Amino acid sequence: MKPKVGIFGFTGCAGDQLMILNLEDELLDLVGALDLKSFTMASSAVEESDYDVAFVEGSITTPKQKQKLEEIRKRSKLLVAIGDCAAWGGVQASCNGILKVEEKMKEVYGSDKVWEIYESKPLSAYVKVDFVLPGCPIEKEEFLRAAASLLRGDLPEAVDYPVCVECKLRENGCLMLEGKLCLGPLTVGGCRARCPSLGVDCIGCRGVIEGEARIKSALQVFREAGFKPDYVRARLRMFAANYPEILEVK
Amino acid sequence: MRYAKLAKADLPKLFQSLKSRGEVFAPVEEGGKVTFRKVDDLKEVKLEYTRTLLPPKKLLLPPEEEILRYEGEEYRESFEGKKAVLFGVHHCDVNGLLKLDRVFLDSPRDEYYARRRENTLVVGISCVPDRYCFCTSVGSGYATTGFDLFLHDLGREYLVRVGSGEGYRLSKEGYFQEAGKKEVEQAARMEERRMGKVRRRINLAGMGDLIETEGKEGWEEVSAKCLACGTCNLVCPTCQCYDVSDLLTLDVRKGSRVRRWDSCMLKRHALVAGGLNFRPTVVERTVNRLSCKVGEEVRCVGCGRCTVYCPAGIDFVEMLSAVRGEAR
Ligand code: SF4
Ligand code: SF4
Ligand code: SF4
Ligand code: SF4
Repeated sequence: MKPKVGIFGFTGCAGDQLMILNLEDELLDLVGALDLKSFTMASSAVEESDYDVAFVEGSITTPKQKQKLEEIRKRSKLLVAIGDCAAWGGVQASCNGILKVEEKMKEVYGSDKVWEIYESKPLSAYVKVDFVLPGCPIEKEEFLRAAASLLRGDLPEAVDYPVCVECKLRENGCLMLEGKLCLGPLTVGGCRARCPSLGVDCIGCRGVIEGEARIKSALQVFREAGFKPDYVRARLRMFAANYPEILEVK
Repeated sequence: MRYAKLAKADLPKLFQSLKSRGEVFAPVEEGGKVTFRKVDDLKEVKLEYTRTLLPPKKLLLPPEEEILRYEGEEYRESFEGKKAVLFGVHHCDVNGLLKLDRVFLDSPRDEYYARRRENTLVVGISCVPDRYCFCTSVGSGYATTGFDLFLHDLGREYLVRVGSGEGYRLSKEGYFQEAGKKEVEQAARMEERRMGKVRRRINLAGMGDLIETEGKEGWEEVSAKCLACGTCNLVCPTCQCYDVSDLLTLDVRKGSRVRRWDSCMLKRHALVAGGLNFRPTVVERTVNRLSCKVGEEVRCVGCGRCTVYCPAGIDFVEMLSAVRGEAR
């Protein structure tokens, strides 16, 4: 029997679902290999089903989303967070702990009681997440490779090395040494150091390497390199504000 | 050893001859760095340079390589038997290759490395040291073996040392001239001047013991700024560790096995089944790296790359001075 799969989206730009639809060459193989029960972006048809694997994109920002997520969790053997929003809360979390949601709502809508919303949180704030496919958006290749394992009930090999590794394997010079603030050393690799390879400093879109990233050391290195604390904080928060050590950065 | 002389005007002839033996990889300047890459014309080659970003190791042990491919029950190892030439390798890097040979050629022999090494000619050239080089303190300032030919710049000509049978055959080609004591003396004086420019020193006396007895606080201090990025390993000519992964297609009928350079400054290097990591932080990892390079055995060749390319500005030589208890 083919594994039953659901692909769901919460608060985010749907870029990760789009990446899956964009698989072009492999999409037919993929769809042939599994029994797709729901795919929010590709079709409005949703079957009430149990899932072998649920891929979930987006961050959780409303009580309704939380409830639906909990429902998906109950029905799924494996739950995989796809993309930075699902993994860390996304850019919409970048002001967490600085600006309250009520204040934001007031500023935009003139009242803080329009909807009940939460501060943007990753899926893991509410349910157990079995595996994370990071990125903004996710990498096609990585998704396919992970799918090959997941569809067999195995957990894929997670990337736990920084962007710097692939940056050096590609023999790039280091942007930090050219006076740019590069988040490569703190950020999960797997993008083949896309940005530094084009001469652009990494903005950390693949999220922090959990439990590994040397935030304190980086703060010292950035400070000594002359970067202003506000700038450093904003850069760190862009994709990973919910990471406890980054949330604390003053 | 045989010695010969080559007029600089005849270097293109040697280059042509090398090209007829395989693809030539040589130092080239591009985008503000010097890198070994395939060249077709001697004009592309940067003959005088300080160091390449990645060492020439990358051509014998590629950063990422497929080691086998399988389909169904069948598998085939992906050996490469292409003839190649590494042209313009410095003393430190020739010595770096010798250190790798001990790992990959002695038993168990690594067939992937061994076949490349056997099919690759190495032509050395004297270097242009800078303030980060300390090859002379680690015994790598002069290459005595490990090359086919070594070119020493004497101004208008090169003294050529011949280091192998293949090199011998090359040196018998018509554009080479005989060389004797006079040229060898000249080259020795030039090398003495060159090595004199290597000002950086490290004192390795008792270093292994000093590393072993350094306390946790000391290590925390030397690694305080370390970002655990892995760069220091990835640019090192003598780092030998790699990681292996299987890449499968969706139906798992087909796939390939690849290996990629690894780094002992990264999490997974010492992670074992069950989740235990016997080098959990940069402290243990730094101890491991330094012991590997200058502990019981000296594996560092003093090329300076790990210092030059560390994004946190951590200086290898200063770390060792700190371990010795000398003021930084
Ligand atoms: S440019 Fe960025 S990613 Fe590349 S090595 Fe430097 S810090 Fe790391
Ligand atoms: S280099 Fe950084 S910002 Fe660019 S794709 Fe990779 S993780 Fe994202
Ligand atoms: S290059 Fe520097 S920051 Fe990176 S792991 Fe090595 S010592 Fe640490
Ligand atoms: S440890 Fe550093 S200086 Fe020594 S060989 Fe490796 S990169 Fe070069």
